[in-house]
Amino acid sequence: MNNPIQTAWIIDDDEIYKYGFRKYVTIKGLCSKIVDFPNGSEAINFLKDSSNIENLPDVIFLDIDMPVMNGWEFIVAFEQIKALISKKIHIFLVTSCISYQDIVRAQNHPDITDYIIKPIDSQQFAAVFKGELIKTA
Amino acid sequence: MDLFDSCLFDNDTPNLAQIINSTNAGIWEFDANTKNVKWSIGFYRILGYEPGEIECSYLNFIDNLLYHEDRAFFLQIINNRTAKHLEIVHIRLLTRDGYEWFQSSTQRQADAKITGTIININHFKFSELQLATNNTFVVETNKLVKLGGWEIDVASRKLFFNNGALDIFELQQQPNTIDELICFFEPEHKPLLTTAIEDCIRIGRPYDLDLKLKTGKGHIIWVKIKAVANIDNYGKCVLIKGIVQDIDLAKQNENKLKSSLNIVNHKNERLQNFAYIVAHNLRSYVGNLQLMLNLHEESEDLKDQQEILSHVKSISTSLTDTIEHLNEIVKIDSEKNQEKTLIELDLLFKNIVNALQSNIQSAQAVINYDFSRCRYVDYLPAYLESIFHNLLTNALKYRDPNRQVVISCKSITENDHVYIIVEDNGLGIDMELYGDKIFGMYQTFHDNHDSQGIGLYITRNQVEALGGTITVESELNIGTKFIIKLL
Repeated sequence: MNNPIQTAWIIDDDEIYKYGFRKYVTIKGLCSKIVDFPNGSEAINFLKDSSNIENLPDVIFLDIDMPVMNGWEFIVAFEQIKALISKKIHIFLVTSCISYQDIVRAQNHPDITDYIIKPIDSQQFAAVFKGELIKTA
Repeated sequence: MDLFDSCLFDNDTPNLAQIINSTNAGIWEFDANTKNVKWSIGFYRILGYEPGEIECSYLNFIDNLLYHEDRAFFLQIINNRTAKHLEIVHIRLLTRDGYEWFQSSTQRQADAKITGTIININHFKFSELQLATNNTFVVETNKLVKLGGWEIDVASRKLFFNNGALDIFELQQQPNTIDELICFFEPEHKPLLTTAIEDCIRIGRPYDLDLKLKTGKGHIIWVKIKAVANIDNYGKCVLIKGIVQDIDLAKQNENKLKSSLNIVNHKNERLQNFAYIVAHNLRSYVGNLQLMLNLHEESEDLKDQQEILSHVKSISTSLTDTIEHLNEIVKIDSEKNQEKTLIELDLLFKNIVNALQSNIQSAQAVINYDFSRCRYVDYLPAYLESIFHNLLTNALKYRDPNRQVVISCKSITENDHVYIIVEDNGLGIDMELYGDKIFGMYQTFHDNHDSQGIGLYITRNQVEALGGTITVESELNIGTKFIIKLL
């Protein structure tokens, strides 16, 4: 099966969640390449570096609460550099908090494809990696 | 012929007697030697009688007509043989309708005779009494509501204070000019009043201000100053009429209420924040546990399963830690009423440094301290230990590896408050980005796996539980300075 999503990034400071995420994706065979970053800042630096053009992700799973640069700050920084990125990157906001404010904000943000509530909703995950959510978005 | 025979009783000639008799005044004459008395027609009539209807005698006048309380001073005038000038007194006389007020004028003549007049002043006296009563009422009422009045005559820019205003200003002598008046107000309120008075003079705008005043005795009180303009026919302000009211008590209560409301709001906000963060934090542990259990079910590889179990253990450990922290935070409020003890700062600090010896050595840090400016403090030892411990641990944790680590700690006293200052030359925090979050719960700013974002939150809670404050100054790559007002 040819996965529409080749590379997925996970930006999160929760090591255990990142481990579980990887493990889940590997067991399910959803995606072959997963790269993780401990916070938004390191991910932005990677995106800014033009030598990484071959290694850009198809989707980003972005946590909200992180030190150094949190999810929302990452979105702001991403808006500023997205013109320089040739590839369409889909961002999913991932959070264990179900703050109504965050949900509304995510739904109305043009750069955010959707939000996902932790830990892992297997159906939603399957849909994301099959590219279903991306197509409809 | 004397006066009475020639004029006052001569009804044939339209003369002085008739005129006098019709003026609502009575005239009398008294011979001090013979005790003989003569009354004019007007005298009888002013008392409500016809001439001859009552006995015209000295005794009748003194014993029956004159009110007994007024007798003493009236007799004194009659019997004072040395007096030369006109004596005027107010007496009460019994008329046909009862006692009424009269003005009595008495003049001693050369021949031991005394002449006098009486005029009915009952209406005048009543109004006067009424006025005095009203006035007393106003003064008393003004005193009760701590009210004073004042006026500014615009043309001369002169000020007038009434007694109430003097009382409020605690002055014997009133200020005479607008400038002198303004001098009594606190610096921050002077421009307000100056502008208000000038506007009132210029365009007649009334004003109502709450201002702080320093009285003649040096007390600082809140007063309400309210004024309106009196204008002439051309609309020009000629007089400013105003009141001043002492509203210090009300203002103090208002301020107390405001500050309690602030405290309550602040506490409420923190509680809400606390609940939100706790829920979020616990939720992420539960989420991870759920995730691991799912994976454990899905996975068939034994090695994977063992790995997953080891993660379950570490989640369990962190969850226990978190619950410990929460417990600690909840405990702060319940412990704050424990007995304070006099703590020797030097001793307590040395103990903390000893406890952190291995961390200090591995950071090769230099710890300086100076508690000479305030050696002792009355505080909860457990809190102070925790405060020092947290701040030192932070300073060590967020040190700049490229510099010799120097951490300084000192105590100072200022305005009866004890301050502890802990300063380091570590990584520093970007205050613009994180300034408001630094004491928040689970807020971490450095990419450091030891960071839990709980230490400073606990420190702040401990400091604030005992009524203190904690503030921070920091600069990236320079260092951080915590200033704690303990008491």
